[in-house]
Amino acid sequence: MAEAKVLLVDDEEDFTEVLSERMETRGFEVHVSSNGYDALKMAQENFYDAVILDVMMPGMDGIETLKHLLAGNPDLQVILLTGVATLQKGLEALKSGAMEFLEKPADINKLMDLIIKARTTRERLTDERIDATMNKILKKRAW
Amino acid sequence: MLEDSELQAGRRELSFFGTITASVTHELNNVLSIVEQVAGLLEDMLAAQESGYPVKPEKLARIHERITRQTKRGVGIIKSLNSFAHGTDEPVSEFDLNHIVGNIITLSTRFAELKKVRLESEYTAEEVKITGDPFLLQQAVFSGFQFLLEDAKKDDTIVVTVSQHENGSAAQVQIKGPAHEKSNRDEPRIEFLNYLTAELGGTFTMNGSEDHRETLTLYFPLNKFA
Repeated sequence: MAEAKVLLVDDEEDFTEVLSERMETRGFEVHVSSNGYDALKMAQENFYDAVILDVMMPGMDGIETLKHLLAGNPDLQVILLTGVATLQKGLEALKSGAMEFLEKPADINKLMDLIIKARTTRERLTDERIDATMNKILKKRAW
Repeated sequence: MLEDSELQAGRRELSFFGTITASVTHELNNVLSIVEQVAGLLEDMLAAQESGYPVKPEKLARIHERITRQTKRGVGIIKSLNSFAHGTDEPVSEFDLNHIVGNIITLSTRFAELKKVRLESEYTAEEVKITGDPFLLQQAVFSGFQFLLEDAKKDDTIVVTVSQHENGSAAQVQIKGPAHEKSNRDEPRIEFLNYLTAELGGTFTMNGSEDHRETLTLYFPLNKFA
């Protein structure tokens, strides 16, 4: 079983090819998208432990993609990756619900640690959601 | 004491320089991020080799191909930025209009790409020598391009054409916008384009064409001091 299932979204093809190969060597299952529109579709059709998202992309940018992703799945853990990490962009990303904001070039070990953290958070949120649903059902039925 | 208008012009020049530099450095950072990942991949492969997994020659060839491509891309970006920066060396110099417009178009491509807009350019077969301020001219072309890009949508095209006037004393840069009418007139930018072309000794006109494509024409004398 893979360490985690990850969606990598960036319009730089060389970057996604190499990073995904390195992540796969480390036991991660990686899906790749070159734009926000395809990423939204893939996130609807698949279950990801983490999404790594570039901020500056043609068409729908990273922040907008992030907002759409979280609207469809509020538990999704999104790590934003960018070459222009201004304080303003970082704050905007975190306010929009990103788990973390990393500057390119990003250290692969730091990225791996964040993905593992994302998987743990995602599992905890899923467990909490299941517990809440179960409690609701139990309260409704007077056994 | 500087007049308010001079201060404003200076600030807009600085802002133009900043906009271009920010975009270019972002792209250079992308190049370096790829090279950094490729170096990491090589490190992974060396570690695998030490553990008894030999490196496949085709993988090395692919790495070489990537490094070569990204190096060429980086060198191209730096050359354009360097040429752009040298535009401020002298307030008046002789330059080829095709080269100056070509360079600012190269530096503007990323702005178009982010909006998924195509940016095309056409040049004259012969050099068009102009005596004037190359930095102001680039600022005028970029400002015109930005004006039309504001309303451009995905898959639209902006075409920049350089041509020489028939009598040989002037040249023009025509920037043709997307095939739909512009919704925002952006009066301050029109005023600024008028100011820039006047500083270059030329004129600026804006006309909607029959196919509803907004067309900006920047008209310059070959030598405003002649």
